[in-house]
Amino acid sequence: MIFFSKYKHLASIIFIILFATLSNFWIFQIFEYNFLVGELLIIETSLLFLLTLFKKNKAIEILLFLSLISLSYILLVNHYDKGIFSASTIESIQIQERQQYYAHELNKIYKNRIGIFYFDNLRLVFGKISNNFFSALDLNFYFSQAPLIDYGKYSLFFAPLLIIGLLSLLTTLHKFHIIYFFAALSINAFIKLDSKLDSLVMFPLISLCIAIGFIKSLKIIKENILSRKI
Amino acid sequence: MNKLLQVSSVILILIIAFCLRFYNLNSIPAGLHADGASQGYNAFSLLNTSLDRYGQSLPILFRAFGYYQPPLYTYLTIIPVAFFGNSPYSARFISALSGLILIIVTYLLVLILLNKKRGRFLLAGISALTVAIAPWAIFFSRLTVEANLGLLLLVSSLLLFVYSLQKIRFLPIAGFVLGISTHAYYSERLISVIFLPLFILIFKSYFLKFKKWVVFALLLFFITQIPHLVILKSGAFAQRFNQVSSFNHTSGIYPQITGISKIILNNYLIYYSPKNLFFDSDSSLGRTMPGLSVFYNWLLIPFLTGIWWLLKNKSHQFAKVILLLIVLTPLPAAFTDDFFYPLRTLDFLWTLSIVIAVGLLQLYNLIKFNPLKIFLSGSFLLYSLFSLYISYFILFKYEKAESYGYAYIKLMDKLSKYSDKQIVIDSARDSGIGVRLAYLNNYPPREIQNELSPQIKTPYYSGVINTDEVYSINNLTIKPLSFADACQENMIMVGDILSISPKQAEEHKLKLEFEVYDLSGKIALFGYSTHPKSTCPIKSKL
Repeated sequence: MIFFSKYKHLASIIFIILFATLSNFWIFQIFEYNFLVGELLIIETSLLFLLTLFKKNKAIEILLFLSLISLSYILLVNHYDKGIFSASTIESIQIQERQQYYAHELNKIYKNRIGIFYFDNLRLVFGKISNNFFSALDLNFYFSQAPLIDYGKYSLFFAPLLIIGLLSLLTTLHKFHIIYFFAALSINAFIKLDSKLDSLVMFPLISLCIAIGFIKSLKIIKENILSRKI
Repeated sequence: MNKLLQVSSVILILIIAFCLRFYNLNSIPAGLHADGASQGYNAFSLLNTSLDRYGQSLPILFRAFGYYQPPLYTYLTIIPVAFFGNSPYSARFISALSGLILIIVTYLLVLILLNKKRGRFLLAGISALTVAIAPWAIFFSRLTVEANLGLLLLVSSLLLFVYSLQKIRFLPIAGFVLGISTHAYYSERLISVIFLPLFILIFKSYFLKFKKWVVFALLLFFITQIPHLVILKSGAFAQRFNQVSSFNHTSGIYPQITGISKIILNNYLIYYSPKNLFFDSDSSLGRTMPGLSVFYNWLLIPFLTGIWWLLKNKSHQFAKVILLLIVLTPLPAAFTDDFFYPLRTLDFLWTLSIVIAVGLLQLYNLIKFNPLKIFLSGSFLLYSLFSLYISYFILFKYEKAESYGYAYIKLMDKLSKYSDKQIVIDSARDSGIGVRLAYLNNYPPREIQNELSPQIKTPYYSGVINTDEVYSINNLTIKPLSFADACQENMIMVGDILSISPKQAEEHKLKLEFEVYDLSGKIALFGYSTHPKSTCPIKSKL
């Protein structure tokens, strides 16, 4: 990536990684919860960042893979969402109501073993997994500044940086970024954390996008504003 | 792609789209929403008297329950009302038809935007299919919403603008259609005034060669805005915006400028959140259906692929126009206070459908083995249609019947037995009951005009609109219920559990005459007869 050419110096790299990972409240809440998880997330952010600099590097890929496995293990062992395969009272009432609608409208398509299994069980489980999966893709969850909501992981100032970084990253995508993205979402689909920590597996990617957005913005300012002749 | 295949693909897509939009349109959604009833009755009134239900001649905006409805939809609804009579079908017809025509316009627009590029027919077909089966498109096409007509006009003007890059004489028509779209829905007012100069700016090197045509187009656009200028100072023009705008938060906990900026940025982000676009199902009105969001969740991958392709090809005319729309179209909704309100962003959702179509094409081209292409495309299409059928044609129909006033339509059957009694129906929580019953009963517009015009407390075009209207339709009186009515002889009081609780019924010696069930099987309305002789002593205690 051309815009990284000036940032190949170690000091710049360290500064950007520190900026991306530590300039938010979220990481400190994660450290408070589990220091090891916080460390792993910072390591993953750094590795993802290095991967954007050095496109092909087996060592980085292996390290990233190992850290992701470790993080998944910790989260799945300690925070596996036990509610995925069982129905709450409200869900049970809803299922009972819907049974009548399905029976009336679908008749034999519903009234058989496969139909009942699909509509009464599978749809619910699939819905819960999808809910967890997509909950990590809520931009407002990371930036919400609504006064009555206790979350808002990053300052709203970072939102434009995230968008710029994300768009920039999309144009120069490394296959490991894609793998990491879907792996993180998949892990998130099966774990349940409280609202302060929810979707923490996305921390490295979001921090990476903010870092790239920051660099890209500096470049835009430098090229379009500072370089203009007065 | 040979011509026969192209034409048959488009016809097949249109048949699918037609079925999804017009199948059981009269009964799904079950009932008729207050806004739809208002538009339907105004159309009926205009057809018969050339006046709206308040007796206003050819309104620029239609006064309704505490706000104004943009006029174009109501004027066009005169045609289905004249042909099919007063029914939910007639009220929804223009929206469904707009949704259908939108598919043809989308197909043509993509063809013209890609101008001689390879694969343009395939992309145009995929775009048309994406719009044809998109949950948002079907959901809003089956509701009486002006936004769908607004979207059609905006996309049509876009088609003309893009075509004007090849034949400049289409530019003035494009300006005119864009101007007309501002009379169809509120979002188009903001989008059009930003879009028009930006489009000219993006292609300035071309338009500079045709300055006269540009001026002519701007002039035509301006002419279409004259009705808005007429009512600009009345308070009616900005009344809806004042109701829903984020700028209402200018005091209290929000410091003025930073507070508003944060709200707008927050709201803007809401519309880009994949969670809201591909997963969150929220069956409240103006949003989506149970179990489905505005797009099928598997479309997340084509969406990201489409964005990636557009960024890679951002210098291309197609990418420029789509990227401009992606940035621009969520703006009107970002300025309002509601959380993720798709109704206000149909233009944005349409744009995203094109992005998804681009992504689908890229993924389709990745697969080299033709039978696998057909198998995967067919599987995803069937899965999508199956999800849609379950969510919309079953769950939405039953679970949302209450929001569309289904019980009040069923009530009419019950009330036919009580033609010798005075009936009071509570309208405290739904100000659309009166106009809904007037519309579905073909109640003469002159009678309604005579009743409603004296009840207007402010000028017809005003920033303040009273909502406490009382409707009298034959032996029905529709008004907020008062237990003083329990002292009237020969009367039936109708309301839901919040209007008349069992305890209140007992207290006022009301006798249960009938119950009206909702489509879900729950009791929605109760009808009680009054017994003033035993009730009136209690009256003094109230």
